[in-house]
Amino acid sequence: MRTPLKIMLKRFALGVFLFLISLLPLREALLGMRFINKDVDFVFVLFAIAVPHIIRSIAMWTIIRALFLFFKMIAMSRGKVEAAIYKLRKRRWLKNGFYAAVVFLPLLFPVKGGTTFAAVANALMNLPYGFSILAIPFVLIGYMDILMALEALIVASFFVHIIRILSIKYGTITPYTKNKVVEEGRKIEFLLESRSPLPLFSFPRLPFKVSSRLRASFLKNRYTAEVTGKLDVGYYRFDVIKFEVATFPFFFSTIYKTTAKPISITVLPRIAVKNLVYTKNPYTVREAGDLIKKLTGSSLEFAGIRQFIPGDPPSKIYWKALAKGGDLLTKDFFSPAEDRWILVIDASNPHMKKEEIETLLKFSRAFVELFTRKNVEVSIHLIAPTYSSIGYSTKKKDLLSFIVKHWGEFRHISHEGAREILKEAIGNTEEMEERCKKGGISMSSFLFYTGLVKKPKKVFHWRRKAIFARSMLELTKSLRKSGKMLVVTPGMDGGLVDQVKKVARIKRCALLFASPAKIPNTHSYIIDKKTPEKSVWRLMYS
Amino acid sequence: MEVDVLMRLLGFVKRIAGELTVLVIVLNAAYFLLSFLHIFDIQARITIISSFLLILSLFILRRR
Repeated sequence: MRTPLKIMLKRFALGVFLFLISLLPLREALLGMRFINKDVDFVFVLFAIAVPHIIRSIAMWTIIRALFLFFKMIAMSRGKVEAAIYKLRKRRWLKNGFYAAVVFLPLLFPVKGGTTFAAVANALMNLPYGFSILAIPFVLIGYMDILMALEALIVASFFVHIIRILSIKYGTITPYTKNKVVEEGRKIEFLLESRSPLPLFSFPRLPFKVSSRLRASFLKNRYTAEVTGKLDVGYYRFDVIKFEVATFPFFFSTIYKTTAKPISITVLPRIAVKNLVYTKNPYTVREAGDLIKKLTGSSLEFAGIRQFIPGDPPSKIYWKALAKGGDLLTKDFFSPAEDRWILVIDASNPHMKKEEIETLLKFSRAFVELFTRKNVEVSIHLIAPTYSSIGYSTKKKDLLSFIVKHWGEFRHISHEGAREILKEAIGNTEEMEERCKKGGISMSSFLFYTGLVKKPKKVFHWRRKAIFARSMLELTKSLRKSGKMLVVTPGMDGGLVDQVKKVARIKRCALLFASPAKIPNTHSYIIDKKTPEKSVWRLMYS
Repeated sequence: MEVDVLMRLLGFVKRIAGELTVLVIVLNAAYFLLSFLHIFDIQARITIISSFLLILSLFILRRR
């Protein structure tokens, strides 16, 4: 069931409930109570008369909204529904009407009271003990009529508000990052340099828990903000920045502005037992990579010399040793295929717990760290509603940021919906789509990574089986070369295991499972929940 | 540490002063606008304001 339908039903029930309450004899019950003070009593009687009507109108309004939502859900496409649910800019007609009235009343009725600020200045001038200094600002505006100056103040604050908004619209924000990939617990740092042709460039409301230090010019037409902070594990983008402009008495115009350059920060999970991954002295301690078994085969990487076994090709025979009068030896080479690992991360379960996610994430990080140390090629495939993969690579940074970046990918918004939402906020989405493509993330996750949408509302659910089957198809398509396949999963039933086995058989890959839970019909490595990195270590002895 | 606090305070004062400067300039502009409108009667004011709004909206629509 679509969640908005649930919301609709709830609203409808609430409306009916309120309507039934309004039918109770509330007025009579309230009028039974009286106050001694006559004025208070009068107001109370008015209130008592109005109560049933107020409740009834709220009830009717709730029911109408429920019906309206129902028709919207039926008539609109998925993208439009999502755009309506995750609305970034709320249009408040009442508020805007009130503001317009506040501004246009002084313009339509400019009034002069007849007393100028010069009189105020004169009065202050006579104060003793040097308090006459207070008169100076009033001398400067001495020509102004007091009443009209107050009206002008309202109009002026409106103009200032407009200046602030235009200043953001015509301004540019350029971010500079120092460190793009940091470990959890370390500080992130970046600079925001803002320039505008107009004064009063507001400071943005940054989406994540970061603090900033400002250095602004006098008229605030340019400033630099040093942003620092500690962020949780994840991938963060500061491409679309939110401004909330407020000038008394005009509050909170929300404006979204795109930065001139893309900016992304990856926070990696912290590994508790560091010396498992980073050995202290590679000469005294056995290096992690040594433990990865390399099988011999036909690559160009020299592995060693061994005794000749019947069946070895003549080109591999160590002829020089034979010529010197030695034994019949064979030159051995590493196999190209066995050096490759395929990390298949299963994030298809819609009910995955936070601890499980953390465990899998830490395990995957440790795996990549250890295996890339010895130039073992690793390819990562993520089973999720939006299937994503990265080809064989030995570059640790690429692989790690891929994992973190795509971890939150399985969100609940469709591509069209995400585009609609972004379009409402910033207008033209072409450049942002380009940045998403370059960053290798989907539009929907872009909304989360920029902090525009904070909590995913589960509007449209996915079914694990369907997602899994589709991902297996994608996996079969995208796997070009075979390797050792390691499936990291929070838990799987027999049917899903069979699907993975089938793919491994077709692609001729050795298959291993790693999970905090027991996997049926197969040999699996249990991931330790507290220190998942230790499990990787154990896996290497396999 | 004390110098740091002082610099922050100075920065704050500077920012407030900057905002006030802009506000005073705009206040003067608004005052002159109001005293200009004060010359006319209500009908003329309505005409002036509505024609200004019309031109503004046409300008905005054309840019879109």
